Amino acid sequence: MTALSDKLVLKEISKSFGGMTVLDRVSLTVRSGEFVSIIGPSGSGKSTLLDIIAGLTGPDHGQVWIDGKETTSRRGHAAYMPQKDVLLPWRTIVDNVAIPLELNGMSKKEARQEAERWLPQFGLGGFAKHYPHQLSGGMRQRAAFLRTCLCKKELMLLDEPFGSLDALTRLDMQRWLMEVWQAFHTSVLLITHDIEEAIFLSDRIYVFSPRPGKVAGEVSVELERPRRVEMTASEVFVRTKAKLMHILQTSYPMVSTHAQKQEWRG
Amino acid sequence: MKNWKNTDKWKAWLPPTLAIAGAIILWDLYVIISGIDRWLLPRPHEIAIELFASRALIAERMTETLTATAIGLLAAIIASLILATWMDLSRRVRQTVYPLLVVSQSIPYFVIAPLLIIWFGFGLTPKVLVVMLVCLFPMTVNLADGYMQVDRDILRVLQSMGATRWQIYKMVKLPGALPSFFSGLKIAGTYSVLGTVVSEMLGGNQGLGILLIRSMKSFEVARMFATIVVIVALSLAVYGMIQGLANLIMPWNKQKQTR
Ligand SMILES: Nc1ncnc2c1ncn2[C@@H]1O[C@H](COP(=O)(O)OP(=O)(O)O)[C@@H](O)[C@H]1O
Ligand SMILES: [Mg+2]
Repeated sequence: MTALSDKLVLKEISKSFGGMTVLDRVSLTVRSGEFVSIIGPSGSGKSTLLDIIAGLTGPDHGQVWIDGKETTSRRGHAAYMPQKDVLLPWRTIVDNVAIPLELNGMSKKEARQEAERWLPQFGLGGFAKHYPHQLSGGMRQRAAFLRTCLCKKELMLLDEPFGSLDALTRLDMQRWLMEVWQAFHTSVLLITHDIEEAIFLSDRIYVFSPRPGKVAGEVSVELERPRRVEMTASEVFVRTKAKLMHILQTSYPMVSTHAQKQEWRG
Repeated sequence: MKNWKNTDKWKAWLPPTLAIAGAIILWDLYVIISGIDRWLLPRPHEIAIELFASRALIAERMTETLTATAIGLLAAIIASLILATWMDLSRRVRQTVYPLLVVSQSIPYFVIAPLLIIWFGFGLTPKVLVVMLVCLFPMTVNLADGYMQVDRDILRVLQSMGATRWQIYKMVKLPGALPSFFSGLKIAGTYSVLGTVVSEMLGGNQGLGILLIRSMKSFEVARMFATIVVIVALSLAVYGMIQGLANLIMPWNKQKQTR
């Protein structure tokens, strides 16, 4: 059983593809209202883990619990935003954002009206009738994120949502994700390969080892809320970063720092 | 802005118009210079005159041909939607139906048409069936392939939201496969007019095909050519209508192309 304050509990999740073990007994917890990140090298099974939580892939072993109920291989219990901003090219921005509302049985007209109300707050006012290809990468990402929010699930799974954006847009999006998270009182599980992004946003961070992905360590971020950009130079921030780097380094046995850097991105 | 767009359109139309005009002039010159018998090859303006003189008869025959073509196309659209979706839902159905479709495409329809007339009489049925036979393959195969090529990540997002199979077809698969379906429909639509005409020629008492046969047998070459002009114009019109329909149904696609 799981504690009342636990939003998501993973119990010993393992997964392999054709004999290659990708996830090895991963257990982790996201508490209600908590912002948790996973960092780990490319190929350590982070995306696969989110697929399993979203119910898109079944684990070989282990269980997924959401809100105290087992949801292994079951869909629709969490809002999931994949690595790419997958908007439907044939739907305008407002109709893309309205999809989860439509799926929940709202009429197309009602869904559109409600979606339209949200657009300005997500910096998309005036773009309701545009098609995705007419928008910048940052705007598309925001639309995909608004769509994820309108799933109205208390647990959000975000797979490297800012990975493809330039540094400035990224900073904007991070600040703005914080605001949304605080306003919606959701629990977030974010995947990133950017250590500083993880520290800046999270309450807690799980570090994954290279394949097969395992939880190599867990670090709490003792920065107060709301977070401000200046904090990235604070002592706590730097200490947390050092801790994370240490875990990452020790989880790469017998690999040089250079090779490590090379394997990092992707 | 608007002006600029108009001249742009103009430029696109100019070369084909010039090419056709050039061909007509060359044709006319050839008839004049070679002194070929008029009942073998009429001059272009004689065809135009004939077209105008027999406009009532041609219009009547054209309506008959158009009706059969439209019904056949519509039936083929519905059949291909059902077939392709069924093939997409079940691998076994796909493996069974696909070869049959290829076979249907390799049967020469001018061989099948007389048989169909024997089975179903002179009415609309055999013509509609020929059009279906001609159209089913390009439309079904294009739609089925379009379904397969739909972005997997989009499917997964919708699945993660708990979308049902039917919702996925409605929201993702069908719109995603539409561009591919329409390219099949354009091919099919262009052939469909000819399909109807050929089946009318092979045994029927209606349509442009009959007009073609009768004017051929009575050596009314000008009328025969006039009929051919109408058939070509009809095929082009069907193509244009399908293109227009595609732009109407898929505004996102048009905007992307013209960008
Ligand atoms: N459906 C699949 N079939 C086979 N191999 C897969 C599949 N999905 C992921 N993998 C493999 O699993 C490994 C982990 O992938 P992924 O979860 O995307 O890692 P990450 O997101 O941490 O980069 C990779 O080596 C990838 O090739
Ligand atoms: Mg990934």
